[in-house]
Amino acid sequence: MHKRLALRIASLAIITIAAAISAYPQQAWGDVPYETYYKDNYNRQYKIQTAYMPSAALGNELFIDDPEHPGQQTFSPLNQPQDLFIDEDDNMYIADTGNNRIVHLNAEGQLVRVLELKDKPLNRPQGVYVHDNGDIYIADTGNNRVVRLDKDGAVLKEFVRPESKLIPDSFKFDPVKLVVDKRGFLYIATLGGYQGLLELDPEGQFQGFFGANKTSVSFIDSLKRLLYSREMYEREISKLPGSITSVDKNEEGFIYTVTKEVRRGQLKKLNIAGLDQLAGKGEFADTLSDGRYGEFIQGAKNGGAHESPQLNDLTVDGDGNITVIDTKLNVVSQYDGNGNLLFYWGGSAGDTTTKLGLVKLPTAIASDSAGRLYILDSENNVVQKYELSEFGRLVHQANSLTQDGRYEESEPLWREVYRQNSYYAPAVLGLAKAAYKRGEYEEAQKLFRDAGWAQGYSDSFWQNRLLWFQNNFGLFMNIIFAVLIVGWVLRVMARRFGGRLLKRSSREARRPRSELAGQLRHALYIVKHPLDGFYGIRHEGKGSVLSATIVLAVALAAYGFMRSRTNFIFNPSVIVEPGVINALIQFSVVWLGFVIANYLTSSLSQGEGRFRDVYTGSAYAMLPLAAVGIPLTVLSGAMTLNESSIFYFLQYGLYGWAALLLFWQVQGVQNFSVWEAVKNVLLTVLTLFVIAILIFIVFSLTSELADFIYSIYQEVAIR
Amino acid sequence: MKRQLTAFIVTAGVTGLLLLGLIWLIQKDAEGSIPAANPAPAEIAADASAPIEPGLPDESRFTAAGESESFRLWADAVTGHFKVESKASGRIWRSYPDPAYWGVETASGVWKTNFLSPVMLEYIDATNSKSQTKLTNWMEEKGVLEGYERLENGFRAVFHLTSSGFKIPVEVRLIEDYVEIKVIDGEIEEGAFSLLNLKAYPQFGAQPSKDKNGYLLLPDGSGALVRFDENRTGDKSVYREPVYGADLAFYNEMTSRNEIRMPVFGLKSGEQAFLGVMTEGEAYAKLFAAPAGSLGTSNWISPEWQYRIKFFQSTDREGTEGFYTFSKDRFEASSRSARYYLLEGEAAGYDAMASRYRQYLIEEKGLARLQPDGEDIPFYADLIAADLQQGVLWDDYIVGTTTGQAEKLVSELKQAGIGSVTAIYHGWQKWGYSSYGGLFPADKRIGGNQGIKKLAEAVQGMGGRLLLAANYSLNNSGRGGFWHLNDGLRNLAGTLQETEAGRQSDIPIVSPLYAFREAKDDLRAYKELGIDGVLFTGGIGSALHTDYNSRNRATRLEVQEGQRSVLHETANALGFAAVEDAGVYALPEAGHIHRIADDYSYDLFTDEAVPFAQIALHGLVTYTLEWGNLRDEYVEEYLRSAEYGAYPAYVFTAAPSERFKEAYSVWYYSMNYRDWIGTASAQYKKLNETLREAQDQYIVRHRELAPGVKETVYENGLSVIVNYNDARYQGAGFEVPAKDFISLTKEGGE
Repeated sequence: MHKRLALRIASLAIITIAAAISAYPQQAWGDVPYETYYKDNYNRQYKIQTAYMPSAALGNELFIDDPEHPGQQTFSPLNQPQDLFIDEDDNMYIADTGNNRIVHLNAEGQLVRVLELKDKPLNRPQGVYVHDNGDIYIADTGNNRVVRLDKDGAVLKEFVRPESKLIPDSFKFDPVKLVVDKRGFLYIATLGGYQGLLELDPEGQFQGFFGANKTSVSFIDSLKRLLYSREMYEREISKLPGSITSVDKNEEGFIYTVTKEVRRGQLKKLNIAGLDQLAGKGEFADTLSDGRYGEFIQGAKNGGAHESPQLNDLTVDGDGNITVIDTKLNVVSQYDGNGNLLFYWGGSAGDTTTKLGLVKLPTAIASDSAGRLYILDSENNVVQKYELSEFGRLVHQANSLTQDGRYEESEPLWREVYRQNSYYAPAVLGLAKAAYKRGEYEEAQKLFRDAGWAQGYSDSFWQNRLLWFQNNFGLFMNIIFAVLIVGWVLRVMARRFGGRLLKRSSREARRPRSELAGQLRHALYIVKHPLDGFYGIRHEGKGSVLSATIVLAVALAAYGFMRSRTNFIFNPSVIVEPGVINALIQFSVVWLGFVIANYLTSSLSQGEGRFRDVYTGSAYAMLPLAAVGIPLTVLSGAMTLNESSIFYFLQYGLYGWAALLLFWQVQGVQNFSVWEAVKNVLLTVLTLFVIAILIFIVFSLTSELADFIYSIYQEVAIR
Repeated sequence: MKRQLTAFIVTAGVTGLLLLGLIWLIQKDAEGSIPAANPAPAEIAADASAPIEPGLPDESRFTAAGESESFRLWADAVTGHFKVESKASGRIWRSYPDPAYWGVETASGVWKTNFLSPVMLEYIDATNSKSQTKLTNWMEEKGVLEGYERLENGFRAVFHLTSSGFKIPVEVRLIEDYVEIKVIDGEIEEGAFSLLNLKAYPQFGAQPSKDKNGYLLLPDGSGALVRFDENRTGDKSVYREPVYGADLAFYNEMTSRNEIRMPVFGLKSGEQAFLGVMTEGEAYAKLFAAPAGSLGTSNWISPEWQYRIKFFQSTDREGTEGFYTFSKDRFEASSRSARYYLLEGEAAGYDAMASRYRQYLIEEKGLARLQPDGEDIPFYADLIAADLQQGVLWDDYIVGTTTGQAEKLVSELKQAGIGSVTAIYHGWQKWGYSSYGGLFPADKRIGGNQGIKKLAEAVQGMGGRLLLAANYSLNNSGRGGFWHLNDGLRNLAGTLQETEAGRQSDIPIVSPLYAFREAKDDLRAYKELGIDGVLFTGGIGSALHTDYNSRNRATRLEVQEGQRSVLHETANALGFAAVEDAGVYALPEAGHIHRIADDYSYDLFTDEAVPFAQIALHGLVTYTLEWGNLRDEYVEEYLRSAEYGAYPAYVFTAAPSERFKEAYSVWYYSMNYRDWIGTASAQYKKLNETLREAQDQYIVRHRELAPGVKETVYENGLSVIVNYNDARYQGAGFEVPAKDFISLTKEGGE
């Protein structure tokens, strides 16, 4: 294991990284061609059972009457289809964009009819919606209109760009997706329409814009706003809010949107007033949720954390679960009605294979009355159909009960989910909530901890702690009583024997057992008299390199202890990154850099400190880490989120104290005035940066050069 | 000033030297390539035969070339084509497209002659680094047939491709119920170009989609059918996979398909069918299958014999920059042969093919009827001993099941009514599952060698067996004197091969020869523990990788032989060897195949999975499907194990499942045996009731009674009927409840 440790350090120190050539074939024991995952609120990804099984590929065998040879059938595949709608009777309507038509299939995927509008043909229609009354609405993008047909395909109305003073001149009416509510009002997503959905009444009158996205303002933006002139700032067109990509609605009248060009809030569930019901309502909203929808698969070849999701479409099933598709990363993610992640899956086939259940370029998704999913693939021109697996169905049942607040009914279901997959956080959470509700706080605490949900853990711990105090109240009182009595007895004794005891002990205390012990005790002196203490290090030999190294080692150990043992509710990194080696190395490097930089700068500005004094002083300045850090870390285990202010106060106090000590160190060791010390510290930091940059440049240049020479040699030798 | 001058001189000197070196290397290469770049076209005229005109062979020209009890072989001395005729029925299998349908063939250009030609191949001009691979065939090049001669029951001919200069000697024989097509590797001649791969008589038995019940059989997973349809949608996908799986030393196409475990293929059309078996040099083959419409209007399937495969030549230190190139030397097998077993009649389906393959395995490969260990079917309990996870300073050791707990676990299984338990202990080596290499001694924290010894005795005392799982293909611990630079697998470019496993990356892959030595050296230690055998995971018996590490150089064939010898010695020393997801070459040395693939690869052109492998293997070796607690569909896959005659297997720990949440390798999300013992015992009891009488019985028939209702019939008349549907199934005199199965015996009645 020491080897492992050494290796890990080496791998950090040395910049040459051997890239893994991962040609080792993934063993497949006959599974569906994609993998399903769950990601917990610490972004840890777990493989889980397949939630949706591939069940059929539809719409890839379309034959229509051959116009040139009447009576004969000709193969007429879809061409870059962009939208898929499934009505109440599970009929499928596909906006076959490349062929300028709407294709109507029945539930089995057989062709029913083709809608082309002979009088005024469709031009690259990108959206289709079928109203409960059977009327068909088509977003005829190329003709800048929306057409409403009756159920037999006769044109009832044509909606064009509405006339209104409220619509800016720059607004282009390129409808791409739409929904129609019960009243017959249209909500139309337009290309580049950053104002939101265009809302029209059944007569085509403009009613307003609905559900616009907000601009995201970054720190840089606010700087620009401060510095730029109004004209300059307005030219930054990228500051327009993202335009809505697709829209859907459910029975309860919520309107759902997805947007591509935003960093968060990609998915929205809007009520009639246009307010997002998902924002801040997820289970994990209190911890680390970033409001980001659309997952990515860690370790996947295409993209990952660096790519922002590109959600193209969504669908809402009968239980209110929302499924979104990502065109770029090719991932399907499913959330429940409150925006909690349920599952996500994805996979890629080779270029030469076409597989059941694998989509190359997903453009639209829909669900039927039984909750089956249909994904439209505009590259393979096919509709892939998926059915819930046993596991997926179980999760849906359990979750919909939980969402309705029927925790007790959901418990046996969650227990079964938990049995089948003990890493699946929604199950753990469901059980934890039920246990909490029943008052089984021990159980709840354990489960919340497993799920990593800080608030729940903290609440149940609070209950347990209270219980513990109550149960042990008598014991505590006895202990306090005993301490008081012993103290009183000692006082009496001391008085009786005339302080002989005290004298001896104090004499012993004053006489240091060895030089080193004295130097270590100097640390305590520094606590009380920092300036004097540091001055003493330089001029009175109160510290040595050995003692400093010991103090530093203790401080480092304490830092590692803090990193690894602080209660997870205050310190999620305990769960996310359990190893402390990296943190310790970072700490040591920064500290050492500071020492060197400080020595260099202060010797230039006539400081009195030698290098060993700076080293010693800076080491002693790290004392708070041990003095406060260790007790605080131990204490954190007994704290709940209610006491978080105390925790954070002490934690900030610790770092503040250490920083102050460092400052006094500069002052005392170098014998600077306050102003000189301030100047010196600033210079030190600057120097530190310069050193870091220099080292970085030297390292990267040398390794680049070595790589370059090696490649030249290889190219010449092999080719 | 002076310094600048020195710097200039030094730079100029170094540059000059580099340039000189460059010129020298270019010269060297150029000299080497001169003789090779000179083809010998003179030979063409020397031969007496005339160049062939592309076209179907004239069937009136055919002469009898061989005869067996029930078949007759006819050959054409002009085209080298042949046909086989059934004496009883007069049905004919042709090595060329069926003339009745050739008129409607839509293929054009080189593919038209590819179909007509007995030999098609791919080659590359190795002297030019920019050249592309070219596809050609004997007829396209108007080649000549040289040295046609009759053999006993067959003929032999050399196909000379006159423009590319290849000479391909082929022998065809009719023996009993099969035709054997053999390419003689040693006598292949190459001209200026390098042979990459070839197909001999690729159109043998090819049929257009006239019979809607016809199909291609692929060894994908446990077997998959590609039903004939006219494919009017123009799906161009084909099936092309290496036999026995990918070879890390070479480029592997990413298809995400199951690896081929059996070198077999089949085609059925109407009442005639054939089963193809690659019998020699199959480790260097890919199986190529083209459903109708992808390449021509026929469905056809053929071995594609590989002679060179491209590999990645890296040019930088990280191994990321570089180019693909081919090796100079060909893969050498003594010959490459495929047998086509001819089947006819109504029952000539995939079950008949599998039965014929079983007969082949028994007669030619020495497999024998299974001797059951006991009356009850075996239950396989994979026990995870320990794994690692990231810790504060060093890795934390997670204990899953100590030997003591394992003993208790097995006895609880026994009490729950599971008659015969085979426990397989994983991750028992020092530091557990994720610490590969140098297995002995076992980690003290789970009981050490002593603990395993005691466990073995205890399990045997309960009438069970204890196997130890061992992965000799990876080594990240450096134990056992392994040093990856010396003992690691390398490709032809010398690049060390590494892999990711679970949350770990850059794990060195061990040279096969090193692994074999290590495995054989460990045998004595296994023997001392008193265990019943070893389950090889991760490579031995299941994956073949060519190794170009100069200390351990081994070809794919040598690796195959080496693995067999490890399995053989293991079985000899300990009495039993088992392999996870084994290739069929591991038989009969391996007595158990663990976790056979039970599903197909979901290609759109494939229609369904069939238990071909299971029909061939039942009664010869034992096998299981995926672990019962790691299924996607718990009920459905349990039913499938009944249909496939597979024994139950579960992966267990004594520790709570969530303890392994952060483990490096063991990612299974539900392993606590207390959660599963009820399910496991109920399923075991029902399966045992059904299958116990059939442990040594062959499967003779398998069919679909209705959509979602399958029947498996054993030799002794036992019939297992599985109903996957949500509604009960009413058969003739029996009834199967929804999502359940029943067994019938020949006499009828349950």
